[in-house]
Amino acid sequence: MVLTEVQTPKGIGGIPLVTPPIAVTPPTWLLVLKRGYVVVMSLLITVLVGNWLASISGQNNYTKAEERNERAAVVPMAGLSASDLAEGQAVLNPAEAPVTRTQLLYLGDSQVFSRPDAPPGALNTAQWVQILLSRQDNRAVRVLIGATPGMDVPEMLLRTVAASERQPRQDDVIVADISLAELRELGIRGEINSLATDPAVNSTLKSLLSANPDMGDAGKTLDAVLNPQGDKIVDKSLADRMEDTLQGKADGWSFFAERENLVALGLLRYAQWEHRLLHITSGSRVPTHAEPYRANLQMLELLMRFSQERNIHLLLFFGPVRDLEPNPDAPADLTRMHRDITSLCERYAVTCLDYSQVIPEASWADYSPNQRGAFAMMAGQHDFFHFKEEGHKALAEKLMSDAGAQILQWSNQAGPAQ
Amino acid sequence: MVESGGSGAVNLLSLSYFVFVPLVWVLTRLIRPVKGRQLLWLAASYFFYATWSLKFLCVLLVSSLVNYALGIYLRRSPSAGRLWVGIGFNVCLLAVFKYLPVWSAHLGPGHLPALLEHVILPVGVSFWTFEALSYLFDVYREEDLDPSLTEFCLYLAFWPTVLSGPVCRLPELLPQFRNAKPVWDDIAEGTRRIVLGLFMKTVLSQILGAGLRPGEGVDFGFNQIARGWTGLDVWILAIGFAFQMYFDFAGYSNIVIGTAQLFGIRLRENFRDPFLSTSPAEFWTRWHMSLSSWIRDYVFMPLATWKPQVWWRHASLVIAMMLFGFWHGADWTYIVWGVLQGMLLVGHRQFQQLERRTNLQLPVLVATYAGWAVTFSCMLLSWVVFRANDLSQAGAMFHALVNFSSYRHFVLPRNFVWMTIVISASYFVVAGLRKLAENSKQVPILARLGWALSPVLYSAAMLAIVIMSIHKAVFVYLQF
Repeated sequence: MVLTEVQTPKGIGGIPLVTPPIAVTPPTWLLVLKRGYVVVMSLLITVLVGNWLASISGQNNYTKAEERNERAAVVPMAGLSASDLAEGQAVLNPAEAPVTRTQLLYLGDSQVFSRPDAPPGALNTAQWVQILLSRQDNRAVRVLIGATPGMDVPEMLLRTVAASERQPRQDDVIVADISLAELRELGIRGEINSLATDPAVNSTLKSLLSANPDMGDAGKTLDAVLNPQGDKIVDKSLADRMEDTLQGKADGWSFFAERENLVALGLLRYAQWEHRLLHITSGSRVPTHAEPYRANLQMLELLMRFSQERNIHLLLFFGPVRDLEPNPDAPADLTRMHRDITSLCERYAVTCLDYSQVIPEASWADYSPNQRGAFAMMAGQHDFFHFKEEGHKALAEKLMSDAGAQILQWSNQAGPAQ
Repeated sequence: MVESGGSGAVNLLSLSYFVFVPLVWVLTRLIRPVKGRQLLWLAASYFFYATWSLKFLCVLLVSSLVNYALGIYLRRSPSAGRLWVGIGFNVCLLAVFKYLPVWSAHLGPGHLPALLEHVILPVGVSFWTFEALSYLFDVYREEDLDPSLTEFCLYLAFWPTVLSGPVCRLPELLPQFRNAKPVWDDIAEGTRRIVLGLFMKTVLSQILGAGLRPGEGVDFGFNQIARGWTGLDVWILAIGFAFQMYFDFAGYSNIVIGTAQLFGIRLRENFRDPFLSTSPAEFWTRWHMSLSSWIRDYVFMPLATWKPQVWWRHASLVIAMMLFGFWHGADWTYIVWGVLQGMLLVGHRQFQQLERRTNLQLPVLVATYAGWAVTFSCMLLSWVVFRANDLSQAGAMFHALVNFSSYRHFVLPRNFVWMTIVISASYFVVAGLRKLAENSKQVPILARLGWALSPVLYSAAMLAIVIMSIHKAVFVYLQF
């Protein structure tokens, strides 16, 4: 605060008044400096830290690299013919499925495609199923991979409904790998949520819900997806186009462009801290609460009703469970799930197979001591969800020996393109 | 309910808004005549509102012209009859555009004329209709108001406030429309409030509302869990929703007040640390202050002075708060919430009288903390009714609250529980730190340290805002 000498302005009637020292504004340059400091420094720090964050967001690329590996070109291996390789590769390109073949959508979580031990280009269960089916009839079925990491039943239902509206033909057979983890959560991710913005899918889902009012819990979950708050699907207006252009320009700054990666990285770091603080390990028991479980079960029932209505053949199997303790899945929860789903399958005449013990202990994977990516916090621990490449082959062979003939029979019923 | 809630609109979180505001600001600096500035602001306001929908703009224009004419008609001879004509027009406007679509949805197709079945709710109609009403009341009270048509239209359409308030009064805005001259402090404070508001909305409210991951957050807890909450879940959801609403609406208010201040216009405050209130009466002087003071001045006061009896004053409180609830929408949950608020205010008055009669004097610290705890808990529980999708859901949640055996576990995702606890606790920590910072202004070295470190805080807020802007956010209060 700069003080000046005592001022003596003229008082009333010209009598000088003595006033106490008063504060005056500092010189302009000081004022500009003082005010400019906050603005300039704030912007400078934002830009510098933003650029640094953009550069470290690449750490999340390890997870992306894992995903890329899972979609990498199939590598030649002993026992695989050129035709096998082509069939295995085709599973990863659903858009190129020939309309003449019966389409089989393979649903499940990361257990379907994750092979922690294998190099890029190794085969997953869905690819093995394709190869084994093609060896019996190379023009019958095209397997399409619809599995996503952490997929839950609402997401399966959305995928199934979207598959029923797929052009030029709907999917004819759904094979779903069911695990307890899929019945614990009710969240639907943005990318799967967006399937419901397709007018045909949206309207089919709404009809499905209104035709099944007894599935109230499932309806509650899907309601938020079908009627997003405060937003209607509208044509692009001038303001929209302006916003899109500005967003595009903003993406020119790497920090802006890397936002999605940074959110993922933030969640990863958060999970790591959470595991460390709460001493959570891969074997820590995960509770299965009654409420989401019941809603998921209703969702599965809805999926069965929908498949029947649309003549989509449905085949479920209980995915492999690692027989080790401590284990994230409580035996009582597993028993309840088996009982409830088996009873549903009987009611709707759906084939339901139990593969919980198909994978021997030696074929299960463990997290490496130097584990990176999404499971970095599990480094050096048992992996209770994923098995080695040999496990994928064993599971596919079991599935084919139990249901291969039936799938091919369905394929004959489905006939040529609709 | 709101048509095209944002996909095609310039909203306060879009990048377009942050191009639009500086553009209008520069043009404002270039135009010297007051009339020219007012016309510029009016054109900017109508452009802003038209990006939401041209149909909305038509309704706003009609309302502005009719209310302006009604104001002239009332000023010529202020009479209760003429005032009732004005009230009738605005109530009809609200009934048609705000409540009819809800009733129409309840009735189902075929019960209303085809034209009325397609009525849509113009965004912000409740806010600018209440502004128009306050103008008519002020004219009736013979306040010295002589707005030109441009000024009146600008008052209703002023773009920072047109979507969700704060509910302004013409006597406060009119002199500013005529003499607004932003100084550096206005620009600095305006910018600070915009950054703060964006942080509250884009980061804090977003995390509470939608959670960190799908299947978490307040919306999930209320919308996707159909039954089976435990007592702990209900408390967590109540806390989560209270803070989500606070960060959403107070954040929005900060952006609005900050934007207006960039142009040298001071709007009335809407929130002042509501969760530190030690009584329900105090809460309503700190939460949505622009609307609660509107209800107090134009509903409660005229009602309460109508009859001298004490019971009538209490009844007036309940009626006024019920109207407050009904303002949010034609839903029983809002009405019951309003009645609950009225009863809380009456209960508080009764307690004050009891204190006086019995000469009960609790130690100040005990009285303060007990008052805070009771007020905070009552407010949290009342928000459950407000947010519930229907009364049966609210009933089920209250049932869980009194089922003490259900308190052993929770079904909500653990992350959400953590986030709610951390964010709500941070609110109180920040409130304490702010108090310390205010006191530290007396100590120059601390004040300078605060100034020197402020860029770090602003940068952290801006970085978080940019990162979280990846999620599409919708203001909760836009639906009202």
